[in-house]
Amino acid sequence: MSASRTGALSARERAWAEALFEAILGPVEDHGLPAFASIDHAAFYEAIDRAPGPMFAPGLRAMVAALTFLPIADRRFGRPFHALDREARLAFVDAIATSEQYVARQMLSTLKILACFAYYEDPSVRARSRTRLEDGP
Amino acid sequence: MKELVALDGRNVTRSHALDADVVIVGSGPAGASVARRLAGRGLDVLVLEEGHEARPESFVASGLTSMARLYREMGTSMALGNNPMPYLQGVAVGGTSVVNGAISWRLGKEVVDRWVTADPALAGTLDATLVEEREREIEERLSIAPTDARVAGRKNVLLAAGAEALGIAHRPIRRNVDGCVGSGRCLQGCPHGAKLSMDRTFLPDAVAQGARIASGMRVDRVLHDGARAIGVAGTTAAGARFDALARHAVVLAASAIGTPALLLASGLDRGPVGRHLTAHPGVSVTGRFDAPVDNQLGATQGHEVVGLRGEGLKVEALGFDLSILASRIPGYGRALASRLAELDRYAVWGTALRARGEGRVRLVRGRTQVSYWLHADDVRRARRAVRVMGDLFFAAGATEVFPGVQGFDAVVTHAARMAEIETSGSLSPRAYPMSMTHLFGTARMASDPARGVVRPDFRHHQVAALYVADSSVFPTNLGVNPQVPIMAIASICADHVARA
Repeated sequence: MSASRTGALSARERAWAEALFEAILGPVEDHGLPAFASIDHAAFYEAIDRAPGPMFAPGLRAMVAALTFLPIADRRFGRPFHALDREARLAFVDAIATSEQYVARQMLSTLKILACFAYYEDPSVRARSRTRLEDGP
Repeated sequence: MKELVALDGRNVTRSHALDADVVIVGSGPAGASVARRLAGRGLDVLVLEEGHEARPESFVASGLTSMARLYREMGTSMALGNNPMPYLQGVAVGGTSVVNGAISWRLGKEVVDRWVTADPALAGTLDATLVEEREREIEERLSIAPTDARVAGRKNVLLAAGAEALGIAHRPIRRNVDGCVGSGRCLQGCPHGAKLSMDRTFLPDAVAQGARIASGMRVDRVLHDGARAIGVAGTTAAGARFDALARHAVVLAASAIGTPALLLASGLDRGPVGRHLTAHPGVSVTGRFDAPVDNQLGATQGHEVVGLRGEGLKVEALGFDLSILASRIPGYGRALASRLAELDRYAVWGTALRARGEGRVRLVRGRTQVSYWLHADDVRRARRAVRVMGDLFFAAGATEVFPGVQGFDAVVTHAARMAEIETSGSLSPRAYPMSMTHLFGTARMASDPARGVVRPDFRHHQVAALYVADSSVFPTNLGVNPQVPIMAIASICADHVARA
């Protein structure tokens, strides 16, 4: 996997981010929605690579790296996030969500917004969401 | 009919010179209002807009794509402070009016009276009768009327039902729309062109009277000799430099963030430039109903609870794209996944706070930096707002409420527990996820140059031929959605520019 960076995240950082996004959204495929890993993220990356201000990319990289490597310092996990199995990933996300540390919680909630953007950018997710999509009240 | 945009900066690849009687920076409600009025008086008007023209057929449902195309920094702009919060600004021909909820309120005589009481020299400019006269004219041009019940959608109907059950005054929101079908996409740009934003109303009016609009033109400084403004300079979207010389006046209408940043970048830092940033911070709560709500459909913001304005609270239904609605649903992992499968059951309501907090806009190494500090009373107000919204949800039939307040229950299932937030909820500003809406005061109007940046006639205190027309001049926040007051006051600014 290349570490070259042409946009906000390098290929390696994208893989770390996608692992975090997948755990944040949880096993959506168990509920009849498309699996996060199965959808196309091209439109998401195109948007975040082009549009945000100058502080966005460094901030995003810092958040992704921090949450990727934070589990190493926790004896319950002991590995980078992407090296954890699915149950451990979900447990780590839960631990951060209830953390006393404001910064850690904020990083996770920011990545949650991005995870939702990435997920719902895919037309197949919109089509399979149990909600009306046509115009009108 | 003339094309709306006379010059597209994406096509301007070599240094370029423009001139006009009046050069206006910004094409949102303030800039468009000034352009329309001055063009109507026969002045040669040039409007410079950083964003591009966006037509209804180009608008999409996706929250992300819309924000990437139409919002400054894709909506990632943050105000730092004791509760860092995002602020959203549109970047397009028409400014934020292209992507706002179309909510239209009058300024309110009590606000004008308070401003004039604090600085009697403002009485000649901000006459309440004149403001009201302008607002009436704006309401007529923009077809401002209460949201039609036929396009309200469930989220608005439920908010009305909750308020009715609790006996709190509420009403359909008055909006600047014509032909709304309730697609719920105000914040992504109306795909039907039903929102009467500036690009569909005041700007075409101005162009019909001879004004020119140049899009993709980012102004980075005011040209002046210390005593008089002679124009502005900037960069086109294609990277070329440009100058726009003003024979009569330069009018800044680049928002309460952009205007002070431009003044500071131009070395015009005397007086409280960038200080006294006031706002209406917003706090929101999510509720779950057993029956479908389809929160993304129906008028984006079609109903409001007005009975608590005395407490500085105004509650509104909020319509979002699915992606943003999903991000407002509590939980992570398994808990979130199961809730995403029933996304149609959730609604989000928000409260705009009339806050006492203040902030500042500065330039740090050439970049705009915004800070904002909630006052302790604002945090109490936010806590009260969360409780009120919880009560409204339960009164409307919600089965679960998600306050989103750190340290309090993530999920509340009955009103009695919701009430306890007012005694046991955190008073830490950071416990309340908030966003900053409606920005004011960073180049405020005052007769004393030590207390204000512009004089009561909107002219810069030190520099002749330089005017500020946007909400930067407002001495305080308003307690109501500001687009109509911004237009009304900008039109009064235009009169002063014309007379100068």
